[in-house]
Amino acid sequence: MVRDPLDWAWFPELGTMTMDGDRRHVTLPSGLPIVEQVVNVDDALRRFQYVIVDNFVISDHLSTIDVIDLEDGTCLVTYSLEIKPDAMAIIIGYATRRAIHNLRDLAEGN
Amino acid sequence: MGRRILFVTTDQQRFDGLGCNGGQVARTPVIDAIAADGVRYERAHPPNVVCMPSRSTMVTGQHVYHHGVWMNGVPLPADAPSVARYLREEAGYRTALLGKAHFEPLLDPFLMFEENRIAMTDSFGPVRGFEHAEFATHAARGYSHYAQWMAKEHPDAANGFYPVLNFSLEVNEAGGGDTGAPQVALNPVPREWYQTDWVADRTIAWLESLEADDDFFCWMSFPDPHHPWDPPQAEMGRYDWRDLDLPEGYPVDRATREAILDAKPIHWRRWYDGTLVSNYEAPRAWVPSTLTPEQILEINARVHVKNELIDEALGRVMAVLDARGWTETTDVIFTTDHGEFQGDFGLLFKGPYHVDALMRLPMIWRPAASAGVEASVVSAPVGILDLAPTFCEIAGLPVPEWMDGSPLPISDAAADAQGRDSVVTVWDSVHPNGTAIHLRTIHRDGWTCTTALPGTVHDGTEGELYCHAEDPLQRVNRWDDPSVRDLREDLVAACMAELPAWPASPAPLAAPV
Repeated sequence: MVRDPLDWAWFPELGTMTMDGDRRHVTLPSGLPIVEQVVNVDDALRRFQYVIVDNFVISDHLSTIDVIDLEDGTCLVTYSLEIKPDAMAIIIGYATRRAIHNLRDLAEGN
Repeated sequence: MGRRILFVTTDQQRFDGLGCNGGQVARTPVIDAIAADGVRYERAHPPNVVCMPSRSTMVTGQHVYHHGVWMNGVPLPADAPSVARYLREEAGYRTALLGKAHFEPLLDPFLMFEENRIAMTDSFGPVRGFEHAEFATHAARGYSHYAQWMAKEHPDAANGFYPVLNFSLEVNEAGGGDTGAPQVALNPVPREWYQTDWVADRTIAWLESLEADDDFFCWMSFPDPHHPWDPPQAEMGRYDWRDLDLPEGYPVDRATREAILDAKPIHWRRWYDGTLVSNYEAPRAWVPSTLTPEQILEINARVHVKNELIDEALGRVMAVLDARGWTETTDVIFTTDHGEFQGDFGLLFKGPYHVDALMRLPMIWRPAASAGVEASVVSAPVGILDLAPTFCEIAGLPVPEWMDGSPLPISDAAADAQGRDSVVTVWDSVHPNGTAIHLRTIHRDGWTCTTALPGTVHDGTEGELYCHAEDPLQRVNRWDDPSVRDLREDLVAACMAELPAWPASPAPLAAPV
């Protein structure tokens, strides 16, 4: 559910997405375009990382999603974010919080 | 057919911005006439001195800690109670909100919030019990109906507005005009396309769509005179800033000014010096100590123009009420969400500063003639919290249990009968830089008392205590004056007793504003 960049039903706020090589072209519901680059899909580490490479507001970005096997039939997902400007950290942080809850609900079949 | 309600709000307007409240510059004859025929409140306070918490109290009738919008950027839950919904469902009122809502964050590229989604999808509601909504903010860009209208009808004119935010999405510190004052720009937009007239136009269109015997609750919400200070340039000929006097609240002498600030809790002086950024509502890169008298005058000239444009726009709406034969059956309530420094203490904008500049609001209620209420001036403390219960009373509905306030008194005698003697205001902010400030304020018996609770700036020992009779400009902080120690303790206790508990799980911040 995490490693396929085009199958992010758990993050509907991202709007529409297309892939071009390792680049994900996102158009947010407001029409704001974002170009991201997938920089790491590590099945062994269960880590997915991407950076925003083209957006007129965001100057620096790295998102890292880790899926940690708790070895009891469950897992812990962490979604960490580094971003500039600071204001975007609040906005994307809030959206990500909602997305993580969606991911949990979808994973649990709710 | 009952009493109709026209609820008129402005944004960030000072008490003294109106002629009826003693304002000496801006001409506001329409509002003054409404006040002369109605009830004018001398001591109305907001629950919080920024937009979202105060506006959320307007629509819910609830205290900040009950509706949960504890600072700008925290969204009002979609299922929060709404006085508009109550009036519509229980009394059959037609309901509309035209202008600035701001119950939800404005910075919303994901369109997570209904206010923004509605505007961006050519919808007009219903939302929060308002069957019709058309939103506007302070800018000609963004996620509002006004911005969409400007983009479609007058795209070039939108470029003339001051960019409220800079490229870092911080409140813009860039200066302009004659003096380089922050958030000042020469805006070539014709007044007919400016947001104030647009709000009046949309209000008139909605009123004219109603049937003759409809009861209505119409919230006309002007985004002005809030910064940016960029009213239509063609209107600026009304005032030359060089002809104005500096505001009484501005201590001209720097040493005097700084001594006054030093006697207040430490966050005042630290913001003034540019060593503290506690909240998002003022430009982070702007240092108040750099503010010049000329900049204050230029900004104030622009605010006076904005206030006059509001008055003239309201006049057009009042004329429509008259033309439809509704003047005698319509209650008109006018107020704002919070104030603005406009140079008091050498400061601009707003923040965790509980003095009259930000807390003393214009509030006027002209009841429908059928109510038989005599004109009066009420000096007893009232608040934004009392508006929604007042709307219920006008509509002949009981005040629901989920509202926290009481209907506005129509006289001081009525206030006494209600046992009304105080009003409280709170501030809570946690800036992304970690700065946390928490203030609790009560106004009672002509005193304003603020406790600065422990945070990252205060240790819990600081506060402010002002006697308005002796010190109407709140320049003498008597918090540490032993002669009023018992009074201070009594006011602090009364404030804490009046406040609901801080939420166990405060809602998260969704955006800076």
